[in-house]
Parts: sequence; structure tokens; C-alpha cells
Amino acid sequence: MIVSLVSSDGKLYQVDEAVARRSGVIYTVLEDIGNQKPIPLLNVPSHVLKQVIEYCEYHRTDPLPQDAEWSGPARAELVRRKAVVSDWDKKFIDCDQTLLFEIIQAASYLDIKPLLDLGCKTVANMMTGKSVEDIRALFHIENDFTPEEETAMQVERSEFESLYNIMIKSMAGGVNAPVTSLPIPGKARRRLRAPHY
Amino acid sequence: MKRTGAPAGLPLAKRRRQGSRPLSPPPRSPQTFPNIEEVVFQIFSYLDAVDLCMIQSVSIFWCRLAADNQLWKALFTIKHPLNRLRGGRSSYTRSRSEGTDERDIKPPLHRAALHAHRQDWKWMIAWNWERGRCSRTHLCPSKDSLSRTAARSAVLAGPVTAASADSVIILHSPDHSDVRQIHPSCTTSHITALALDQSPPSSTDIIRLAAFHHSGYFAVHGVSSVSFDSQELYTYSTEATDNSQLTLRISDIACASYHHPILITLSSAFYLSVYHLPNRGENASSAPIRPRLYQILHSFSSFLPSSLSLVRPSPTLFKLVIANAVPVFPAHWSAAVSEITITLEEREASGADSDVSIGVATTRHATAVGNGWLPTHVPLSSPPGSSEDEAPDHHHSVMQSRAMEQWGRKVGSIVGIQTDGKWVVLAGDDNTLQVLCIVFTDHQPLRRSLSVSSRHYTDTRLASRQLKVADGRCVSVGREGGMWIWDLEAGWAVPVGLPPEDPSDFHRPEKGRIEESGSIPSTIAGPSIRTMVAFDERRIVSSSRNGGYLIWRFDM
Repeated sequence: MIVSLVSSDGKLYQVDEAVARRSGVIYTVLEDIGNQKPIPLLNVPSHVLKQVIEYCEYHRTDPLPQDAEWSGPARAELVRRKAVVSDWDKKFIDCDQTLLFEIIQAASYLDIKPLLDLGCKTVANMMTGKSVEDIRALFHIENDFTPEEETAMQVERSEFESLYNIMIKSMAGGVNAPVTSLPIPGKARRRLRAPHY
Repeated sequence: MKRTGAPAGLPLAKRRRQGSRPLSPPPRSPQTFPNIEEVVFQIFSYLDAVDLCMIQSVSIFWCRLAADNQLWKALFTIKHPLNRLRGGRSSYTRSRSEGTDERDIKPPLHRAALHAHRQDWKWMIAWNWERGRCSRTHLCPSKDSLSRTAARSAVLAGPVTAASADSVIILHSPDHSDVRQIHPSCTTSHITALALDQSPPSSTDIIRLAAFHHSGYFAVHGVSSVSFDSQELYTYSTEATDNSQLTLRISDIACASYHHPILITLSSAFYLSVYHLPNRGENASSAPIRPRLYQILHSFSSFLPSSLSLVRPSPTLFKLVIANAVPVFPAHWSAAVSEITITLEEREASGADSDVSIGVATTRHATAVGNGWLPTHVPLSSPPGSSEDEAPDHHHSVMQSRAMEQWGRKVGSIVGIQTDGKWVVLAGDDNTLQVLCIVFTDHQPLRRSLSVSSRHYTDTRLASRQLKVADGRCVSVGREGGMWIWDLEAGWAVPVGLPPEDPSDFHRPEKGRIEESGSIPSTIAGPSIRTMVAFDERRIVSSSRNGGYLIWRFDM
């Protein structure tokens, strides 16, 4: 059975029902209304919808994800974090940043959980280990802190970064590197929100 | 399957991409980061704690989202999964909740359970232990102190540190500024062991602390953790007799375990005594009560060092795990584990005292080095290729290789054995540390009901003088004065207190201490040169040679 989808700029796409049902929204629409009319997707422009359909076509035989809170049991959470991204997915998501964000928003809107996970993971990987300025520049985020907040942040951050280096050092050392009492400035300690014992 | 749709109020995402695709409309300002909270959460949920801290200073929106409690709760549950055994012996705070499961599994930290509704999870994630990051202080004994000899044993009871020195218990306040002494009422022989009540604390915040003297006298002191006032709650003494069995049973208690109302002592002659401590009445100032002795067990084939772990999986059931050294013919040693089940039934009697019946049964036993008969080789008489024979053949070869492997791990002498009810750690004199996991296989009656699997570590720096295991965590003090922390569940190990590479950022320990500990003979470390080490979730306390204390603090 063929389902007709209409993108926000009016383009018509015809896909298999099995492919379309990978989206939670379309699934619900098909259950509730049926497959008589083309389904308008007001939030998804055609070039994004094309990518999303490509993803769904490739993953059409995957089992549908179970409904689960992302902050589920520790094991499920760990599995989710450590899940290996397949080569095809890596290649698929390796696009320019604008399209990536659009795909994420479309996946969120259409409720395609694996695609959303894939996109979010990709963005999180882009953020890992970067400095605050790098992140702002990378994602074109405006710094909307007031100057006072900014200076306070600056002080904390410099201390935090020194702490961060220490932590990296001690992590890389592993078992064999002796790590002894490290001086931690009071503010950085607070900045780290750190944890007792 | 009905699935949740997109959230309401989703803004129209009519953003067009820039780039070279033919479909592309004219370029426009770059796509901004998604500003939908749900999506940003999803992205942040892949970050670790360091990055989450970092990105809080990117923008106000991110700051608010990255500080979200659910994100940190997820990180916390990953770091502290629920499957840890909470049978620790060194801290009374660990036993706050009553488990119903056989293995006494407790929530990650008791505070998490108590304050789950208002817990700020990001304060709960700790790195200090696994990074070995701590502060170290050395407390020298004061000149007028009685404790000229090194403390032989110590327990950490919440904020209070209690250590024994000669016949006196010395209580330290959390910052070790206030020191009190508890003098025994009727004996002068030295204390050989201390035991802390593992039962959930009562509302009065009284810590019950049992001190065992060499003469056979023991007393349970009730110590207020606030004011440090102490009172003898229970005392047990016997008049001097010539009964050698009695002397062997009650004198020189090597280790003890106390989970109110059951107290278990193990003397160095390997007599195990089970006492019941009846509840005291309302009048708190009454005279000490004498505990009732219910059962004596004796082993001829078990030897020190030994370790006890007592848990209460249900209100009527206590489980005691004993780890001890067993000889391996002709001149080697290995570890063995026994489990003893104690059932407790309290019946309301006619009088004021309730009648208590206690049943003691040894249930399971296992040794690290296997004994008994093993099939060595299956003869070729059975026709090859028959599928029924292959499985047992494989099973036998696995059993055999495992037995050979464990046979090779017997040691010439044992420095220390410790157990927390799930793990057994054995420190040998050959610089090895063996980690054994006690596997209970209740549901497979045909197989051995208690077996031991092991990991093995060898490092010259591991040479241990003293071990302490509680709650899946092991602290071993090396001969050079260094200290290793092992997380037996997670499998990491980190050294603390080794001489640093850069002395400027490190508070040097006293010179004499290093020299002293360097002179420790490398032969068997018997009770004569016993040092003590105790730890809880905040700190490690160990004794130094001159009667002082070394304190490693992790709650910086």
C-alpha cells in the first residue's frame, strides 16, 4: 500500500506504508484516519523529507522501538549511550550542519526515534571536548549572559578548565599512574558540582 | 501500537538549508541550534558530566537545560547501578534500609533513597574515589595520650571514628579535633577486636559498638554520635576458670560481627559464638544486660586470617559469611568461604522478656582451590561424534582447567582475607591479590551450591599489609605505605598516597613514617605487626606506627 506525503512546500512523495509507519505521527494518522488522502507534513520541507524517507526506506525492516523514557533503567540507558552507529547511518548523517539540524527537528516532529537518536548523538559528539567558545562558534549560538554573569562565568571557567585538565590527566593514566592529592581551588570545586566521597 | 505524537506547540520548522543542492532556495542566515527543549535534552543526554558542566556557560537556555535534574539522575544511575551488594561492615550508615531480597541489595546510597523526591542528582556523582583524589592528614598522638601503641582495630561509625588502643576505645570527632576515651569498667586487658552494629540506626542516634578484650570480657557501648556520651549497654564476662575450651572460645577474639540483636564472635582458635542481645527496656539508665549465648561452632580446619560478614535479609533470618584461610597440602594456603544461616524467632512470652529461639545451621561451603575428585581425561572408549558425550567432555575439561588454574593460585602464606558477603579478597605474600566472587546457585541443586570464581592481580606495589573490604570496595595498604583502592564491582583500581611526582603540590607525610613502614619484614605479616585500616564512603583511616592516624578524605 502506498502512502502519499506532502511536504511543507507542496511536493508530493509516495512511499510504502511500511516505510511511512516508521514515523510515530504517520502511524497514528494511519490508524486514526486511514489512508484516503495525502498526509500534509507542515513542518517538513521537501529536501528534509527526502532524506527522512531515505532513512526510513533503509531501516524499513528494523523493529519499531519500544516506548521508553530516555532516563530509564541504568542498563537501558547505558545500552542507548553505547549503541554502535552503523556505517550506513554514519554516512547518512554526515551532512552539513543545517541539514543535520533540520533532520533532527523533522525526526522529532515525525517521531522517528532511531533517527532522532542518531542525530542527537551526532550533535553530542560534535560538542564533546570542545570549549565554550568553540561550541558557540560551531552552532552560532549567541552569548546572552549579561557582562556580570559573563565575568563570573569566566573566572569559574578558567578554574574549571584547569581542573578539567587535571581530570583528563588522571583519567588517561589509568591504573598504573599514581594520582595523589591534587589541589583543587575552592571555586572550581563548586563549579564541578562535585560530589562527595 | 499507539505511540506518542509530536508535542504540542512545536514551532514551524520552515528553515531552508544553504548549500549547493539544486533544490536549495537562495541562501539565508545559518541554521540555528534546535531550540526545542525536548531535542536539546536528547542531545545533552549523550554527554558526560564534564561536558554537561562545561556547556552550562554557553547560553542561558543551555545553562538551564544542562542543569536539569533528570539528566544528572540518568548519569548517576549509570554510575551507581542498583545491583551492588550493600552488606558492608565498616559503616553503619549503609544499612539503613531493610532489604527483602536474599542478598540484601540496597539502593545506591542511602541518601538517594531517603531524599529521592528532592534529590539534586548532580551532587551525587563522585569521581574522587576512582581518581584517587583525596586529602591526606597525619594525626600524631599527643604526648599524654594513652595510645602509645598503634591502634589495632578501628571502625568508622558515620561521623565518629572509633579506634582501640590497649584497653581503651578512643573516639574521634569528624575533624579529629575532639578525642574521647571509653574506659572499660572492669578489665585491663587489651582490646582485640571492635564491631559496629550494622542494623538500621534507631532514631536516638545511638551507635552500638562492641569491644572485645583479650581476657574474654566484652562490652557493647552505646555511643551518642552527637555528644559522644557513652554507656555500657551489654557486658559479658566469665569468672576465670581452668576450662581450656572456654578460654579458647572467649579469649583473643579475632573478628566479630554485630547486627542487633545478633552478635557473632570468632576467636583465634576458631570457636564461633552466637549471642543474642535482648532489647533493653525503656529505662535507659539501667545496668548492663548480659548477652545470652546460643550456639558455639568450632572448626578444626580453618585458620586465621578470617573475616565475617553478617547481613539480615529478612527480619527472621541472618546470614553470616565467613572467609578464612585453609591449608593446602603440603605447605600452601588458600581461601574458603562458609555460609551460616541463623533464624531468629521472637515469641511473646508471659513475662516481660520475649522468648527467643535461635536456630543455627551451616549451609554452604566452598574453597577457592578445589578439592575432591576431578575427571582428568575421558578415555576413547566412547565412539567419537556422539553428541551426548561431547557436552560433558567439554564441561569436564572446563572444570579441569579451572581447577588447575585455581590450584596454581595457592600461596605460601596469607597476609589478609576480607569479605563483604559477595566478594572475597585474598592478599598473598607473593605480591598478589586474588579477588573471588561468591556465587550462590540456589536454583541449581545439582551443582555445587556455592562456588568461587576469581580474578588475579600481581604487582609488586600490591604487597599488602592490611586489607579491608566493604560494600564491593577494597582498600589495601601496601608495604611501602601506599594504598590501593579497588572497586570490585566496576573493576577499577587506583593508588592513593604513593609518593607524588611533583612534591610541591603535595603535603608530604612525616618522614619517619615512610622509613618505618619500609622496614616491615617481607615475611608473613601475622597479627603481631597488624596495622588497622578502616573506611567508609567518605574517608579511609589507617594507623601509623607511632600510634597516630593517617586519614584520607574523599569528601573534598
